[in-house]
Amino acid sequence: MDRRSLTRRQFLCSSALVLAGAAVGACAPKPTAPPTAEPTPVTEGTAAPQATAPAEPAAATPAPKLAGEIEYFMYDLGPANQSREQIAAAFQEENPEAKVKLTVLPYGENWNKLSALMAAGTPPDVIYGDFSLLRYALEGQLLDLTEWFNNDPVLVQQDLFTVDMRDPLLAMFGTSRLYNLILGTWVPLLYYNKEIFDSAGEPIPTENSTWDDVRTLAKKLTNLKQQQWGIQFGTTLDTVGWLWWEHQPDDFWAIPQIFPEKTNFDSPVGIDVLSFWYNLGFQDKSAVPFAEMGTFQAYGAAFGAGQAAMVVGGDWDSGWGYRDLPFEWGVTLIPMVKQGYRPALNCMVATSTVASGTKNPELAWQFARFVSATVTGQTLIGLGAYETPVLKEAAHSDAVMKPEWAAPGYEYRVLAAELPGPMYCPYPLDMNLWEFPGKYLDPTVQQLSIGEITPEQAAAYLDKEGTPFYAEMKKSMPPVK
Amino acid sequence: MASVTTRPRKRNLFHLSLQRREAIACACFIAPAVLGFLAFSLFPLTTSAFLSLTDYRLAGRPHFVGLANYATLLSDNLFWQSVRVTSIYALAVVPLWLVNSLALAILMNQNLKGMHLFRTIYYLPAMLSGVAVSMLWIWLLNGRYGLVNIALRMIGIQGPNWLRDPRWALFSIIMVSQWSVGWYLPIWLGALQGIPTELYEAAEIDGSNWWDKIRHITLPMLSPVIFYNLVMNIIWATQLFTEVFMMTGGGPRFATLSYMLYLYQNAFSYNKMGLATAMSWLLFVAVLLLTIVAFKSSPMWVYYEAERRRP
Repeated sequence: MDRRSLTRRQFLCSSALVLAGAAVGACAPKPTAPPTAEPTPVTEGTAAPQATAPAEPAAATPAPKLAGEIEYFMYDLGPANQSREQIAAAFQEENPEAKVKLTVLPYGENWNKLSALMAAGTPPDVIYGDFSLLRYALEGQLLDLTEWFNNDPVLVQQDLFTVDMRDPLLAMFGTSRLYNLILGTWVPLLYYNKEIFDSAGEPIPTENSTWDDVRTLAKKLTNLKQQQWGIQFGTTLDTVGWLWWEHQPDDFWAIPQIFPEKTNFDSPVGIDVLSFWYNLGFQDKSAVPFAEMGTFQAYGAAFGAGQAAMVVGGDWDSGWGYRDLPFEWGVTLIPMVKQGYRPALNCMVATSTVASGTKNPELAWQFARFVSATVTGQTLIGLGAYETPVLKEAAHSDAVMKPEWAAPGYEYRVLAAELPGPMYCPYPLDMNLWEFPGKYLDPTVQQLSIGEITPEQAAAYLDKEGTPFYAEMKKSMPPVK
Repeated sequence: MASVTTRPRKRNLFHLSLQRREAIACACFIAPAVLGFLAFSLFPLTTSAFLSLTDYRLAGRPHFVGLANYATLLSDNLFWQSVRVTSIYALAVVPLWLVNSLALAILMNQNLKGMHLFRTIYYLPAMLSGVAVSMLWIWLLNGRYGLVNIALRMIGIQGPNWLRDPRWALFSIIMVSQWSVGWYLPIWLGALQGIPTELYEAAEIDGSNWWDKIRHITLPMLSPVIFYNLVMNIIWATQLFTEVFMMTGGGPRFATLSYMLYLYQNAFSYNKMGLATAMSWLLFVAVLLLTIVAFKSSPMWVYYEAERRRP
């Protein structure tokens, strides 16, 4: 069959025609994005969102048209990662031209990677973390969100959040500049194994219990022959410090200072805190020994294995590991240090931070705002059960306070977050979170708990090592810009 | 007369001589290796030497501090604890590795049925990832549920809390290190099979027993391989990291804080890059000295068949 082929002239003419058509098409106006639904302003009494279908986000201003891609940099939150994926999906649904790429790294590795990215000048756009990130603010590597915040008619409303977004900055820097948005708190609570209490005929601790009551109960519920202990210290060895904060948080900063120059372990408060491990671990033998902590197969160690009557833990415990425990458990507020004195610990907060090197600051800010200040974002945070939401409307919803799987008292996590308390940052701001606990505090606490040293000796040792340590740390801090 | 036609000689593109073209080809072939060495070895090496003289915390710029990092290390108790742990570990595992792997290789060198299967079985652990092996041993050595303690309980012994008791933790790590002793098997077997059988036959005629043959034939003939393995083992022993990182985190109470783990902690947990690089240089010097000692001592005990010694 005779095949017809284009001549050179015909080919050139057709190509020119196609190119001209493409050029005309490219010059035509872009089709406008479909109008987005009018956002729902934050009001009291809005129906609580469901787990599968969160409510509309709260915002008073018309949402700006957002486009582009940002990277949300976070550490591995286990099952709660799903809530972050849902938040990103919900945000993208509202902003079809925006894309949020999640980068999830194992805990620890995320900080190293972040340091490297910051040093290389290629930071991620939005960073999940805590106050320790504020070191980067001192070096000018974080976006100053103050004006964004002040110009947002929703965010400046009073009584919107369970925490004051600005307090931590005031406490730390003496400035009112805002470098992060708080998206949740980590609330420690007292968890109990109801079955152990019932079989022993002892009363379950309540929100009115004191640490003295708990110590007495722990002693009564300890049965070493059956390998049952009254109380378990923190979930892992890394968290021994949490118990310390929980015990005396109001006076916490009497020990290491915010911009520390010295430590004051050798003081009435310091001795009292250190005695906690000594009394329960060595004297009463009612606490699970540190050497035993890692030997349990269950999540939550001895408590999860049903061999400790009580444990002080955080949201992640109840949300992750305790959902499917094979015994009945409940939760209440951490005990009062003494009757009538209830410290709160709402200073431990999770935040979204925006890197100053972001190529899309508007989109990054709007995403951070979506996580912290919309019912959708905050409900998903609550359902993730890794942090307690801070937007009151979402936090008080039944979906967050009383999820289907919750044990009695689960709502205390929201109530505890709203107790008045110090809003300080308990982290050293040089990104060096582990050196003092790892080198000095943890080993000392372990020695205390087996009676190798007394609280007085421990306090003297920690001050001897801690004072030069913190002085050196302070020297390494960059000056406040 | 027949005419001879010759094809014109193809001229090379740049009129280069054969010698020059070969030189260029040679340079092209070795360029990847040289560039790789420059970029990934020499540059990091010189950079780390510089960083060891600075206070560098990743976020921010390095500040020159002279020898302060070295002075800090020498007055740091944990630095010396890490040196102590690594030394004990090296002193224990290097002879154990050598003796156990050689003994195993001699067994595996027997001409028995199914020996290939045994060789494979003993070599398999060496192919597993150190992380996976560590995870396995964490559970085997679990004080409460571990198979080791369950087995001990069956014969009436209450086993210790292997990894959580400061008195047992380092011993446990040393024990675990023997897991991968089969790694050396191919090296030993290759060397064992290279020993001429005539030597053994002559020894038998002379009435030697098995121990005499090992002492006077096997060991001398293996001495170059023993020397190689000794040097490599010393280097590996000082690099102890994966097992302690995974199984104990350096605890309990620093009982297993190896040098490399402390170096890692300084670099990536405490962000003290300057201090960490100073540690790496101290380790480099220490390993270099040990290797020099090993090489200097080798003429006294290493036998090379082709070597001619001065009278």
